[in-house]
Amino acid sequence: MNIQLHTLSTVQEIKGEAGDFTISIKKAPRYVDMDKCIACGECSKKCPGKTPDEFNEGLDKRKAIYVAYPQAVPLKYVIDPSRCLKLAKGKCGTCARVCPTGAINYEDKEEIITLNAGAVIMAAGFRPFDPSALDNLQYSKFSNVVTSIEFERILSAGGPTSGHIECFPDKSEPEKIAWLQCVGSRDQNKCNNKYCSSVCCMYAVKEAMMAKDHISGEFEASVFLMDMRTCGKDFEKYYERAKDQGVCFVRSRIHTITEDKDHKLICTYVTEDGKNVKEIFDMVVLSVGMETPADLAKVVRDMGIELNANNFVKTSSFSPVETSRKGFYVCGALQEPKDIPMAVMEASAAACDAGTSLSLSRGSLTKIREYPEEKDVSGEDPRIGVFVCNCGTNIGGIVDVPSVAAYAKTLDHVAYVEENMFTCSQDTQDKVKKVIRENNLNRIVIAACTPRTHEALFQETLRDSGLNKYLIEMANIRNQCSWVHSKEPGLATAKSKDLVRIAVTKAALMMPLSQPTAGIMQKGLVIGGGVTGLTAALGLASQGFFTTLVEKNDVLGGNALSLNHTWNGEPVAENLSALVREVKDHPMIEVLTNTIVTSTSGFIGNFKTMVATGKKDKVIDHGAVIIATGARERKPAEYLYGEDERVLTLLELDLKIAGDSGFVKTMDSAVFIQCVGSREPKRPYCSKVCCTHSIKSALKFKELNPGMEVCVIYRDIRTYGQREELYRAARDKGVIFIRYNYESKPVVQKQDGILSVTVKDHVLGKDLEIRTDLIGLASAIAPGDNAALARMFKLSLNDDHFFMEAHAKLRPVDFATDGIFLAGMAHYPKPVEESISQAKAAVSRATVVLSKETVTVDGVVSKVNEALCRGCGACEETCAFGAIVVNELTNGLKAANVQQALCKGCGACSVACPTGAASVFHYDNEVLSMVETALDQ
Amino acid sequence: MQLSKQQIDYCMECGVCTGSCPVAMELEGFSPRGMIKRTLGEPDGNILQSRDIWACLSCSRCSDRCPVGIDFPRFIRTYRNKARQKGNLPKFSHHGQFHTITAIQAKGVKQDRIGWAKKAGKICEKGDYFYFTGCITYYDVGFKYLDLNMIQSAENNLLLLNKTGIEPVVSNDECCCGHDAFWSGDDDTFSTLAEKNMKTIAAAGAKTVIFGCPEGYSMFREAYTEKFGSLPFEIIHITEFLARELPNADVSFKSKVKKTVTFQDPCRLGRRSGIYDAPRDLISLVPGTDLAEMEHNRENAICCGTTAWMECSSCSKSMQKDRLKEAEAAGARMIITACPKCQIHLTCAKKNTDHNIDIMDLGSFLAENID
Repeated sequence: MNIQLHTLSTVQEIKGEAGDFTISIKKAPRYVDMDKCIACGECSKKCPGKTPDEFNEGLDKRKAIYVAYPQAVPLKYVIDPSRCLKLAKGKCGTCARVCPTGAINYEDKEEIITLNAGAVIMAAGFRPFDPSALDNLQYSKFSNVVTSIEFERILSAGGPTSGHIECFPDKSEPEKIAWLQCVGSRDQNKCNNKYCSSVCCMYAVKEAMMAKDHISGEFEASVFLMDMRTCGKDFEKYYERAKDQGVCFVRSRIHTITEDKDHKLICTYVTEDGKNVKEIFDMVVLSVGMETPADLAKVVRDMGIELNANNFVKTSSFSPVETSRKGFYVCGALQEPKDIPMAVMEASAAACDAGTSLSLSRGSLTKIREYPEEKDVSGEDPRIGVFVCNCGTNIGGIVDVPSVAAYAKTLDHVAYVEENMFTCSQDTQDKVKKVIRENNLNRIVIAACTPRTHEALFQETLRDSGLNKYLIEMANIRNQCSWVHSKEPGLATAKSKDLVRIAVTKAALMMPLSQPTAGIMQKGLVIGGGVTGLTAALGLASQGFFTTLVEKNDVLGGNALSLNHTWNGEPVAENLSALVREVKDHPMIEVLTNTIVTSTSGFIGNFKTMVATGKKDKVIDHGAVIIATGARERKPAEYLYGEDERVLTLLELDLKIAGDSGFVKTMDSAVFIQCVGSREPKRPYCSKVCCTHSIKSALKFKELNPGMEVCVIYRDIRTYGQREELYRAARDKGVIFIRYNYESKPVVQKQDGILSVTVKDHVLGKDLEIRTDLIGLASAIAPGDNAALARMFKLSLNDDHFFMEAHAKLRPVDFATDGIFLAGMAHYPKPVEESISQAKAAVSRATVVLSKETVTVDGVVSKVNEALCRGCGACEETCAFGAIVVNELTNGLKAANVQQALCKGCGACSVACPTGAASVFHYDNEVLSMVETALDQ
Repeated sequence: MQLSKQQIDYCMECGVCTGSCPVAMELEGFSPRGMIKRTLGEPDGNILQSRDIWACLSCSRCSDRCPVGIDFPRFIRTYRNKARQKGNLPKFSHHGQFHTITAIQAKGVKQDRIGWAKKAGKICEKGDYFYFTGCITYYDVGFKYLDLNMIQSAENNLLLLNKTGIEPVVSNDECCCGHDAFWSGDDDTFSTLAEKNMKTIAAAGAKTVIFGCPEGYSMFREAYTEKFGSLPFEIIHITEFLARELPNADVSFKSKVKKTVTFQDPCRLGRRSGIYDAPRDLISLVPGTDLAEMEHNRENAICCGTTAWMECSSCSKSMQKDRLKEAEAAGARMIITACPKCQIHLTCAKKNTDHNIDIMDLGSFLAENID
């Protein structure tokens, strides 16, 4: 209700300044009335105009009236005027004739809309690189060469081939597929995309694994790459799994593809040890990169926003979502190629920054929906209203809806039955409300489609009629009857009756559920005083929420205290001290150093956390908490670390250079060894920051002493995104890169005081011994001891002991438990700019909690019948949210207890409970009765 | 069979039933005697609406002792049937899954339930002996979460039967014996299942039916004979069969680890069928095993806490914990039982407690100690 969508719209101009923008938008005509369209699809079924389907990359056809894809929001049809016979030639008009709600409007006109806004967030995204121009890959000529985006559609069950992978021309299943990495990325020759697109390595591994699943026969997947860049959280493990499952990873770029007479693709490439190989594949997938289309770049520039040479929006590491124009924020791939979790984090971060700038006027334009007072029907006998939907011909064309309706009339407790053309349409909704009032109905059964898409709508209708919103049950006679049994209308009708009877049985047993509300303590707690914690505390305070920042050390700043520069050369020390000063001076922030968290209780909006400063305990009441406890650089246990003072970690080296860089000028040689303690069985993850850090240090050496020799010994160089430019610059300055395998690690030796590194060069095929004056070890970033905090707040850790977010892709800063948020290296190793983005994202998510005065708890939660409870603890073991706990009762027995505010109603406890003591409201006897009713015939 | 008013009138109000009742010891207000008295006053009255009629475990401690022979469990069972018709339902444990399975079996479903037997030993399609496995195949799936491997008991029973030289029929068409439906007052489901089983056994041409589970045995012994008259085949519980045959069979036992064990008498095998010695004789076949008796044993044994997959509660847990304590107090390091439900319930009771005694079924105990 508080989000206004303007689809088919382009921004013409944005005038004004931060806090007061005037935005003019050109809105193209949809030719379909959004209020009337119920997305039944009748129009599209009958439409004669066909055109390539852009969503499926043109691999199949769509109609002239269409929805772009099944998950489109809003789910409303649109007419493509260039393909519509009526609009282009004045003929046809079929869609208007068949539309049951009269939604088609051929007279629809373009509109210019003017909006006022205080801040603008740019999330215009990217375009996949078009490989047509690369003639060595022959994408436009060979049918069996496809792009990765096309391959995604091919893999999709809703795609052009329903998920079957087929080769041209005989639709045979491929036996060999090759993925070619870095097409349109890390390439300044065939195109001008010098950067790494960050996402392609991971998606290629995923596509290879999925292809293995989709292909029934013999199958071989090969990925041709330069460096495997699986540096995201848990990505490395997936890569290892792919290797275990037989996906071949070949360190080579395929330079030429040719085709034989059977349309098989002959790929020639050279292996690492110099052999020339000709290999035949049935299909080749080009892992295309991301770029900002030129027209978009122009629009963004015209708005006064600075782009860099790669056509990405310029930002600073310390304000990663702010653009050069005040009041304009950026997120997603328009700033730099990035994956979904990072883009989602940035989206929340941009919302945070925009929200901070507008926090004074928070709530001033918010719309709140009013409902009539709820009628208490708990004492009444059930009077069930059954509404059977035809869904146009979607249900009515197969299922005998009148006979289902007539059958419903015969069922116990049914007081009213009605048949609708479209139960979900606005006019029917209004009618339903009237019917509920006139017939004193107190339970509603909707026999139509799926509750997944429509239950919320009908719940609103109940609330509008003064009924508790949980008094509705849906029978899905569309998906489960008319769709899956379309060839057996008689059986579909019989099954519809069964489903209606079952739903009525449940409805009769359903009672109104309460949704208790609790007040919210509008204060924040941030645990950890590094860059992430500081940013988070400042963010919450700037939004107007009093915040306590707890740091276990005596100084604020964390790891950033040892860093010199961010990857793009911004000085860390001065930015950090400015941040610390701002935090310390902020009237809304309380800083507690030398302080640890000792215990906590409560739930979203109402936490009580005990902290200890030395021996002094203090209780902090807060409504939300941000965990920013960070991680640390691990002290290595190999390569003579600790035995020779010339062997240092990267942070130690940074500190040494910051102190006095004079020593560099006296050195002849330095060696960096990568993956020290990372990507090993004990720590099977990539520490993400070290490649960039080593290369940055290598460049610093070359800057201070251009004549010295600098080597980087690595497994894969992972300078993702625009950090790739550093890698290029380092090679440009003469830094030597030598790759090693985990199985043959370099050997560091000291003989007569001379330090040397021996490593096997794969290309040369022999051991190299490098004498050196200094060894920089890119040591792993290891999580702190998160176990205690995890136990206190009932949070999960992943196998590597980093905190586990609620959803890796879509909820990267949330925990499964509400009111608790995650940012920075406590989540996974990451550089400053990503830590700051994530901190801001956490602030934005926490603000959603703190800006409300009360929190409403969902009604469909678990409950425990104490008499039946055996205190076995199975529920507590299984609950992912810490919502159910076994307590000892006064009589010595044990019984479980549910905290409604923490419960998500998932039912795990109920399943685990052997006696049925734990159950979810509306899913207890109701379900058993449904089963029993189902067995009645 | 329905208890006549006269039989109820036999009650002398001596209270031995309520005094013997393990539920009455835990559940305040629960009284078999009180219930009999209440029905005397108003035969179809408020007892039908009460929760108490579901609390009885039908463990038969009361009826075993009743001086006038009132079979309180049978009495309560008939009232359960009436209560169901009035909409008073028990609280099914495990989400009613086992009742649903039997309901589905009663509807008629093609089962694939003898895969284990084909692997574990020798069976045939028709023959003199029918091994009535019971619901253990379903429990095997249902109780993985307790780290129980229930199918093992059936496998070991089959192994032992093979050792005695027989290759029994194990049938895909076998259904639940109807015990849980019968004891929870669902007469229709019981009748349907009973008829199906009679047909299945007849089709196999069996002369003797060997029961792996005391419930099936007691059902055939009591309810089936009541329904069908005398049965056209012999019924025997596996413990009796093995106790008779194993001493003469080509198999000897040797205790792998010498230890003290105890035996949990299942209600259906003990009090309802009178079989106490056969299992004990079998245990004594394993040399080096000491059988220690729990404080309450044989006729006095205490039920494993719930029956017919319903009304499991804190009361059940407390009974079970007492039982575990008794076993430990007897010095036993293992409880051997001859009923899968005892095994499941006592294993479950160990969860979240300090008890750590092993619990094993008799067949597996024997099989493990074959020399």
